[in-house]
Amino acid sequence: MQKAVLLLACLFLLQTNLISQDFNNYQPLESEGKIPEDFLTLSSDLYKLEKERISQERKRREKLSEQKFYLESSFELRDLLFSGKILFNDPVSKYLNKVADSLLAGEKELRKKIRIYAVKSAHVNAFATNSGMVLINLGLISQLENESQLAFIIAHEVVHFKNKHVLDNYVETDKIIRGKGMYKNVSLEEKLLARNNYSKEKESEADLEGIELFLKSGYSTENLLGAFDVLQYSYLPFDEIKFKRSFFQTENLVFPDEYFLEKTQDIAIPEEEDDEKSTHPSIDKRRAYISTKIDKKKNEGKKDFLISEEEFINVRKLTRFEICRLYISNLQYEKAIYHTYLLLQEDPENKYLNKMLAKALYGMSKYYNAGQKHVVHKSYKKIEGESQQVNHLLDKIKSDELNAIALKFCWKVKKRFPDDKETEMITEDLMKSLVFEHFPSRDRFSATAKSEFTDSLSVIDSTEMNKLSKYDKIKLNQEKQKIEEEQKNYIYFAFVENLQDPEFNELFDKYAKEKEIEDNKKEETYKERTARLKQQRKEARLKERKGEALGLDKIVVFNTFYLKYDMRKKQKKKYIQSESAEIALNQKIMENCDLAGLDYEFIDDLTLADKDVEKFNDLAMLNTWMMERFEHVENDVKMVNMDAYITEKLAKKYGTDNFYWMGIVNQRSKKTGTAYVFALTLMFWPILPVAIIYAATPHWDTYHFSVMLDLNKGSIDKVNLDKIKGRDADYLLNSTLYDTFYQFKRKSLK
Amino acid sequence: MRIVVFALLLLSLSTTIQAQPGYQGKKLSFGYNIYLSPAWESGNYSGSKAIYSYNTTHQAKVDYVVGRKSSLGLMYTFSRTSIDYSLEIFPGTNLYEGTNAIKIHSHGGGIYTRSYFSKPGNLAPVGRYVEFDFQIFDNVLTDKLVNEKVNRFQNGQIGISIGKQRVYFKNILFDLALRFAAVSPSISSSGIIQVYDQNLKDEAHKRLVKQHLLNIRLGIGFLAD
Repeated sequence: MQKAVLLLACLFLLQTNLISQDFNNYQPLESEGKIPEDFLTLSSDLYKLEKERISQERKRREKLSEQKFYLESSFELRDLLFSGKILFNDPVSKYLNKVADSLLAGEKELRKKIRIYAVKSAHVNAFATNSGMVLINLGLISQLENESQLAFIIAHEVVHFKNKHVLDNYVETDKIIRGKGMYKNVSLEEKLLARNNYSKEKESEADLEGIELFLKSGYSTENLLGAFDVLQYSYLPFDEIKFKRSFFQTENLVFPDEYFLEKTQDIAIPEEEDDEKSTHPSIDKRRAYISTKIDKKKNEGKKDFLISEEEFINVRKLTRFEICRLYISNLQYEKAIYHTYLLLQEDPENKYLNKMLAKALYGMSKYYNAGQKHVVHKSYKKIEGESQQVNHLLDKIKSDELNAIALKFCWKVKKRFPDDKETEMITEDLMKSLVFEHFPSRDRFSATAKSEFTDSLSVIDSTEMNKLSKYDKIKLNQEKQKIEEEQKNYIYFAFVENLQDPEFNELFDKYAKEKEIEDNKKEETYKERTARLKQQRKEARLKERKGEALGLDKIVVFNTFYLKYDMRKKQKKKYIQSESAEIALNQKIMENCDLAGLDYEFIDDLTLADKDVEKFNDLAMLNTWMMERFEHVENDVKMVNMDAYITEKLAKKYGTDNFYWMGIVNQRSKKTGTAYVFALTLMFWPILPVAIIYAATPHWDTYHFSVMLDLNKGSIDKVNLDKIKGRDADYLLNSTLYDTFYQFKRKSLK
Repeated sequence: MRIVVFALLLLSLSTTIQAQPGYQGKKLSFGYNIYLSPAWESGNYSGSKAIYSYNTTHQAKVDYVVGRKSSLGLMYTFSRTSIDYSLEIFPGTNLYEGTNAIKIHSHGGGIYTRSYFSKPGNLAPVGRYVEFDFQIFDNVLTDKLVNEKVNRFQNGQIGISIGKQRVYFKNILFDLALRFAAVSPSISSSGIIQVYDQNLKDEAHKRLVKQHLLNIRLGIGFLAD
């Protein structure tokens, strides 16, 4: 008995530990345990298996269509699984599976076929695959009100799988596009309509059969219809709270009135939606036919929460915390600001949330400074609800003002969490851009409180004024005018409190001095410029000839890819060949690293075993981080590494800063100019054999793409795109790879 | 020559520990080349002037990679051809006049340097290249009829080749190139038999100039570890 109690207590502790997170030091969600089979099966093997299952009774064209579906879905799905967005065995996925267990308690066989994974995406969405995977976005979970709503969504997706809706949709769409059968001689508009109707039919089927599944479970229907509200208002944040002016304001820093809307735009009253052009039935229709199925009498004894309300709330909180990161990583800084603001209402001192807000402001400010406002800012006019205030503020604010406000907030966070390196980095970078791009000296800000400023002038009353000389009066008047002018610029008082802090002043002066030195640099003469350019050209030529000498000892090769295309065919991407070529490429990389004497480690989807969950997480992190960095590079915005803590940890773990991402794209296309070559043979017949060979051989192009990341510096060091004319012959790949690794390893050019 | 090859071998073995240039770190290669020069205008060794006739040159070589995009080599070359020669035993009398074939056998050796284009995928000894070579030849002229050596002279040759070398099966090199060469006038000669006049040497020289002016080179080689 005692043992049983102890065991139960342990299980309880384990259970709570599984979902417990220190929200103050929130860590990104990661997959745990063994990597599921879905991730380890090669796409080509999966395709073979699914192809064998094609019913021989189907028409030839339908069989071909089904085959194409299996081919594309097996490979595209694998890309999604390793994109860094999919989670397994993490607290959220575990919880989703527990809900599925409760929902399908009476459908054991069906339950066995379903695998549920959480998707790191802020979009409100869920979908099922033909093979039985149900993928639910964190964005959807973050908006739900209870477990029963989640259970209904899972039930809906399970029906999609059970009734093979994804496949049927594909085959039918293919039929519609080709204009076969009943779609013969039908206009494009009618075709689109037919496709939408077919999709709507399947969605209704999923709803209706889904509710049947749901009703068999112990979940209550009382709050079920709220799931449709979630879908209806999925474009809004998870809550509607007024964004207060006081959030960024201080006694001295007061925004002009025009920066804030008196009233934000009301959330539109849903009109009867015309779903003719939609793939889903309208929310109203769905709500209506589901409500007909709900019988309140049969709801007795059923619950909104079968697992636990506490766990649901905890999981929902996890998703909301995770979404802050997702918004930042997708450059949706405005959404991140309001989302974090909402979460801060509950926990204003939360370190993670404060850091996220600091990062969002930093990102926003850097994009504004770089003249890339359009990339990160969405017009407030299209926004409904309270979050509109944030977009309005960021619409009105100028880049220098935003820089100052971001710095002020980050400084506050830095002071509150002095050990946080990332906040320190972004604060220093904000200070640097403030000085270099907007305010080169501290004199541009007032160290005196706004109230004192006004007081000092108002103390002089009219009798005292009369006692002053004519010239003193002029001077005083001029001073008044100057102050009034400065006061118009509210940012003049942004740092009144900060300028009392010696550390702030010291940092300001440091960059002011750097700026002064840079400004005083002698301008280059024409002769000096010519000499410098000549030297640069010489060095470039030498580099091209001799290559580089990076002197690296170890690299981590991650996420290699190999894409083979045949541009002459309808099915351009050669999926199966691409996968086998990627396996061979990985072998070549290992072989050439060995030959070059370069130590390496591999993190790639094709080399993972079920126990490699850590590598899987590292791969997910690297993919997400690199994509975010690429966005900044593409937009020409120089940002510090906002995830320095994570990248430095990775660099330390693998014993190197150098992470190498590479891939090959091989393309076969139609040869051009064959007619000209034959025309030439008419003039000079001996070249006929050459002309025949030219015409008979296909045109190939091979691209070698590579990126070297320095995880310690958090930078993308080298991006190369080499075009190799010709086929992707083994020797060319070996030669390219060895040459690359040789240059990595080489200590010097001599 | 042996000493040079031995030294190259030693150098190749001693540098395997460090990352080194060369295809997968392999620097030394041995090879055989055959040069084909169209002979439809002046005939080949057996005198054929058919459209498919070629004069051939055979070559053995050792190549050593000295940089990322460069290599040096030594070569031994052998070629043969023939010329039709009008013989006048008693010049000006028409007492005996006829045509005879003179065989030309050339042996030579030299060095070359190759520069591989700075293009992706090119890494010595693989890829597209330009080669400059310099060779000294010893040419022996033999009367086909009497099978007797009638002249011997030496000359130099400088050549430029543009080609592409590939690797298959890890170690087998295939080379395809176009070579243009200039043959120098004779730098020394010996042994003209009385009945053959100075004109023969000039004819032979002209023949060699034509033969080496433009050649297609096909090569096969072995890439040593």
